[in-house]
Amino acid sequence: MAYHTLTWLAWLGAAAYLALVNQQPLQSILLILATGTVFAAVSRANQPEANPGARNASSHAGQAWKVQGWSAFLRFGLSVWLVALFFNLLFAHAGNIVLLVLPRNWPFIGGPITLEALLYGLANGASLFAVLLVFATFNLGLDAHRLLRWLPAGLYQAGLIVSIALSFIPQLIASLREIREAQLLRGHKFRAIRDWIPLFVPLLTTALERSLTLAESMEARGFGGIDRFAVADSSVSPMPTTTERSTTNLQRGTTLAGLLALLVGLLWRATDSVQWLGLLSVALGILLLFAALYTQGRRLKRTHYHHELWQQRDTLVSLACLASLAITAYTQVRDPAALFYYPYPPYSPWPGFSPALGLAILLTATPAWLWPSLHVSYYETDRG
Amino acid sequence: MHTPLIRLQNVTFHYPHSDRPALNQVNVAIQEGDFVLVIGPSGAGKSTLLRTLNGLVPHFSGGRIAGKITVAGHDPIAEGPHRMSPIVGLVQQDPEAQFVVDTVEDELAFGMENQGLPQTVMRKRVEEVLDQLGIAHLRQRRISSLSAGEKQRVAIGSVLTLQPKVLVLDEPTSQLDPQAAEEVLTTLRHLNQDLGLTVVLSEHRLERVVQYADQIIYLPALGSQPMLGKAEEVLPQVPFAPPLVQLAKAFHWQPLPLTIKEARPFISQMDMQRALPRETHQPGLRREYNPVHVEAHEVWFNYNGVEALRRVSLRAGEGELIALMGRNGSGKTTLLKHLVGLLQPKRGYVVVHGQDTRRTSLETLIRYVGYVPQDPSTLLFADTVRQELEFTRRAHALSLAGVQSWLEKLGLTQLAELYPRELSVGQRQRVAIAAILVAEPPTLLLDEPTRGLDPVEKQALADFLRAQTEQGRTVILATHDVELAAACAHRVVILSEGQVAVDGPTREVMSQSLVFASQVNKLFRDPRLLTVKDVLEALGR
Repeated sequence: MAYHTLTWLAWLGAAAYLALVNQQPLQSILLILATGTVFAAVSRANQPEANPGARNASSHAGQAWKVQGWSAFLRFGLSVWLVALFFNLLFAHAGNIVLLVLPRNWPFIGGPITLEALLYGLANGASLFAVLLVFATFNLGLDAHRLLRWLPAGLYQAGLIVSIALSFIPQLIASLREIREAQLLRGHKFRAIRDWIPLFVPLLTTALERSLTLAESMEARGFGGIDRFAVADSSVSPMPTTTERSTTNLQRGTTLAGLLALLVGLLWRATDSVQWLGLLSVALGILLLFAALYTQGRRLKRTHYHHELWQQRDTLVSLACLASLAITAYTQVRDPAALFYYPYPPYSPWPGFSPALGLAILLTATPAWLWPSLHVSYYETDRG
Repeated sequence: MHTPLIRLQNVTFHYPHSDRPALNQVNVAIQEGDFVLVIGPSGAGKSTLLRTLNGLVPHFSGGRIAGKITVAGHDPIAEGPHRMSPIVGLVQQDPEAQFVVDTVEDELAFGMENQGLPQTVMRKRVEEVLDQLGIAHLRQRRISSLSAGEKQRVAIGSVLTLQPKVLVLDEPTSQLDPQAAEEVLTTLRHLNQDLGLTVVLSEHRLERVVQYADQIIYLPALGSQPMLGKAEEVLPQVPFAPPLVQLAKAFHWQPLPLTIKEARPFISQMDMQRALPRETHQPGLRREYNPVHVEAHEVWFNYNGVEALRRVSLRAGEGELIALMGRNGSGKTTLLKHLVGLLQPKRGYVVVHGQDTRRTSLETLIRYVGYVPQDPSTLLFADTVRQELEFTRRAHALSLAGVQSWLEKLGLTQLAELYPRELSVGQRQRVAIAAILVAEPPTLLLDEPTRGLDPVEKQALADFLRAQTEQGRTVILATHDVELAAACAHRVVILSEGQVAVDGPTREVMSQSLVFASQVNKLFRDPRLLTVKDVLEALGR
């Protein structure tokens, strides 16, 4: 893991922003190339042979597996791109530059095949693929657990639970396979829906048993934090003190008020009357909920074991990403046409290219250029 | 006497919706620095007792509790598991299911982060614990890449970083192979003897821990009074005492020996040589088992390039019982899966009952071979035990008439109408075996059938399997359990890194090995003596 979590977030901001607002195909392709170099750098660093410090090839098997998983995902993305391209090419018959004409009597695809349709299919697919690639790279580059540490304490627990739930999926798949094998060997045949009961009952019960074990283990290690007020006096009293109780009540009150305000605001907006009052109510609700989360976070004393070092390359990459963000935002406000693409008449079918945006895109490739030499691992540099 | 570190006074506990107490008027006192062993048959309330120490019972389990518990001056009933977390550390049975984050170092820090300790303190403690447990080389590893023994040591580490006063472990070795179990137990002994940590441990394989215990708490059955005392006092009363203790009881050895070393002086006084039959051949053991039912010939197999089986050959004849042994990951399960046709060799061939597994459908093969998987709960889904058996009969298109006799053979008649998942581990294992055998396959494969079984259940399983072979059934079991193999196997095959390292009659293999030898054999070092029964028979008792 070569970069600081915040650096990765800055990169995600810049790259995802570009990928989401840009429709111009040339710029999309440049963005795919730029992000692709970052993806390649991350997966190279994740390969087991790239880590001479690793004592055992299997120690990085998880990472290698992750790389493979994302590569497969991107192959899927490419095929989606191709499908989108052909679909548009064959079914959209608008446009002036006719490449060939299919017989009219062919259902759906009969009619003129135009360059505009080809370009539009290509452009749509490219911007879709760029979005997928950006998120795949981010996922590969940053561990979910590192991201969790930056969540406010109030949200940390929810985040951790989501990440555990996600880590359960591969386990579920593994036990599904085990159960299926066991039932097959017992002579069971899977034909109708009813035949899947012998599969799902054991799956569900096994998963439940596992989660209970995990819950016990987390509980026994004080998950959820130790209440600050309770730990303050060493003679732990089981009964909550008055201050403690009033803080809890205040917090509950704030949460409730926040939810109410949010609900009223949303309903208000649906009724079409004075819009800004509804908006105000929604904003107030969100503010109150954040306040509640914040106070709860302050009550739960939680610290972090890892300390990430901010290095020079983090500064450089972050600055590059911020610059990229600024250029994109400026373009979106002052020259939205540079991002917009529609090849059908009356617009020009030829894609444009804005040098400023080109620069913004190239800046998102900085993480790959500044990637540290593979022989220094993140942890070693971390310890100094 | 000092004030005990842990004290339970008249503790009674009922699980929710249960009228029968799981703990009934229990009184226990544990001194600081003691190594305490909690023993008893499965389902006797060992886990419940251990979980009262940090308040998971009753805070997590629900239910009603009465009486008074004190642990290091704290009251877990009032304070609950959260506040007890810096005082009592709990390690559980399943090494897979107790981890929260994905690397070793982060897992060790998880509890401390919850306590809100400053980073400098956390760093220091993580380093200390890594060194204490000898796992410093694992610090950056992903937990999913560790072996089961390593995982269990990380689980111990993850509670030790909170510097608890008491370490509580609920059958921490029941899922491990003998070597990994040894690693964990050695670690525990080191923590107790060299660092003075109080350890409370429940364990089935007594022969490995009993000599370290300062005190034994024996729970004979659910809700009955526990028996407390030193190993020498309690063990003679326990029906499933380790083989050494059983011998000592039979021959009135005093003081009670707990280790091979302590027992040696007693056997030197016995005139075993004269008593033993000249014939070293195992009674009832045939040289050849014919016809050959299962044959694997020079089988090679790999998973994504990792060699799992390398030129493995194995033959099993009618009525033969083979124990496959070896470390975790040595290829035992892979070999079993080949024998039932679930996996097919990359090179070589497997023939079962005249059918080549590469050319025969699974549907046909399972008429000849039954396979009981490692975890019985992967099999069981029906509402009653009887339905479970009927389901298999139907899947094999057999009449339902045979079900009752199999229920009787496996002692399940009393349980026939119960929900399989509510049964104890041992009972569930029996239901799983019944659910496979009810299809009457001539060959039976079992993968680790003794996980979580108590010694009495284990002995019953050994007798049952032996009886099956006498009726001509071929049985192949993958097991870590040396005593089980000693009690029932005709032949032992030891796999090592996907190769057959040893293949021979049980008596020969065991008397030539130190790791794969039963306790009685380690004591006498004679191929004619593997089990307590052998010794008693030799001396005409």
